[in-house]
Amino acid sequence: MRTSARLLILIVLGTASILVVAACAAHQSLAKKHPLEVQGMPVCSTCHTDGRAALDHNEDYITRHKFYAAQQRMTCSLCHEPAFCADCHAHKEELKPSDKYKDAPQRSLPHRGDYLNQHKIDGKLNPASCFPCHGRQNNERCKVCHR
Amino acid sequence: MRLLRIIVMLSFLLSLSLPASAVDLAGQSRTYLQSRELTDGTRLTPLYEYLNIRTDNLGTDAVSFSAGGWYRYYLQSTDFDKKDTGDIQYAYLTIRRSSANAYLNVGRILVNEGAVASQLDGAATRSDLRGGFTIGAFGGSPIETGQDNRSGDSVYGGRLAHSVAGLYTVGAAYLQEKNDSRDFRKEEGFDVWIHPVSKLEVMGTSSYNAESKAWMQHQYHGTLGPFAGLRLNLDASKTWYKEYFASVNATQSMLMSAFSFTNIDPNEVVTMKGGSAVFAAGSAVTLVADYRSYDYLTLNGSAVYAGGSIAYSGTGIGAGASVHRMNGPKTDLRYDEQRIYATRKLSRADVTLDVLHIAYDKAINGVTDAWAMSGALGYLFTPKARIIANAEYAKNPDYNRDVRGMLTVVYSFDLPLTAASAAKPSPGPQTRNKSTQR
Repeated sequence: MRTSARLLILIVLGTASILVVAACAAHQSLAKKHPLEVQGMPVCSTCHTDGRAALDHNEDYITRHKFYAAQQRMTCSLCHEPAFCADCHAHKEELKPSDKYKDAPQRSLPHRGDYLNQHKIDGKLNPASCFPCHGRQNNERCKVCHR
Repeated sequence: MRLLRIIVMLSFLLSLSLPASAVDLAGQSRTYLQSRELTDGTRLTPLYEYLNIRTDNLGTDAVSFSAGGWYRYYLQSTDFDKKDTGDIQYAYLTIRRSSANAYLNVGRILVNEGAVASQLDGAATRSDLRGGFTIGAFGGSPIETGQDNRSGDSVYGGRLAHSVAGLYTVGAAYLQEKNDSRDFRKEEGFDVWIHPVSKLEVMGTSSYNAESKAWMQHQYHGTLGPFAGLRLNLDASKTWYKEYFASVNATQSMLMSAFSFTNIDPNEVVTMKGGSAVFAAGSAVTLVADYRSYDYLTLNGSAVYAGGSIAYSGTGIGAGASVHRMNGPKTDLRYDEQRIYATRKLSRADVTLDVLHIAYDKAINGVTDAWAMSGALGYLFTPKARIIANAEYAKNPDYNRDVRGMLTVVYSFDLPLTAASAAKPSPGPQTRNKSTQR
């Protein structure tokens, strides 16, 4: 890249950074960790009445967690370590989530049983549902066989 | 080599931020020793180590560091795969501001900004702005094309959102990725969460392929309730395979797509509609009825997956069962599925049983019934150390008999690295160690 182009990018980024800082809201940030210990599945609506009340981890929460994570990731990180997300949403994996937690059958972990066999059948149903984890972010495992 | 560069870079950043008082190092080690068999009878014994660490306070509460990764080593000689391999899943330094929820992450990160997502080596930042606005931006080198060289690869994007607390959040996001200096992905999209009245939420995303100038996917979810323990969920999505999976040209789409298979029509458009009714009968029993239909435009067919489940969760005991029917457009996609599981905690020990059965309408490789049975025994040696032994039996169209075993050792740690840091109070509550959320 030419020096003038780099300089232009630096100027634009610098200006944008200054504008963002100047426009930053003054309210206090969320706590780093949830101030109260949470035992078991959290029922956020017990205390919260704003958008966080929607984060009750009830039985079907897994089906919509992706929408909350895309909008409120900082809220997730109040309780969850990055490793919690990486258990399923990893860049490159060999162990499937349900194998890592054989002692937690109640958890909604994908691909229980011998899914290597079953994926050849279910994969035709809607491969778009495979793609968020196994496409762009984990394409290496697919390409071990599907070259 | 790439991993080495990342480690060196992060170590350097870490060393810059470390004060003389040093840090507390917390995290978890999960070691798995697995025994399994390939279809040709070769027995494999891979040893996995998953390690995650974090330092919540690098001299100042505003700076922290998190990293996680895994390493695998085959205990026997192999000629079918690399003897050892591994990956850094994430490793980043976080600098937070005490106001506006502003932060900067630098390192290997997972970015999930509304309708766009990527994993990259680079930086991501966000901040609340005045008037309910939020802005986020990211940039770096994408890490997903591991079988490709990374020369000229880059990814950047961002999201602008507006929220009224408790009422709505709407966001617009953009992502552009280059592979070998050529456009690879150009995606735009918006995300929405609306809570117009009590007990009603609607959320979803729409993604647009800005390169081919066509929609990739809409996916929306609505939830209604609870009404006396009953909650209703509605789901709908529409996906255009050609736009969703493909990239700019045929050569690049081969690099990008994991699904460039001959048995999946790239021109297919699938519409999914479905929902579930979830009923909590008291605090221990949950009943679920669920239904999903898939309509295929090109195939001119449809599939329905429907059924129900029951789960019980009491003190020291849990159990569940489910029954589902799959009716697909082709014979191999027609089957009945049942699952039953139970887990029981006895003081420091626990035992788990899990059985899955699939009955295919038409035999596949001469097999009509697939079984997977798993049993696990766990023992908690200390609040931070646990061991789990698991055995699994499977019979399916690929295997007449597949027996697997796995030994898991879990160890959580929280190490004060210096006397000075040991003397100070623990940073925050012990939520992460005590609960199941890690």
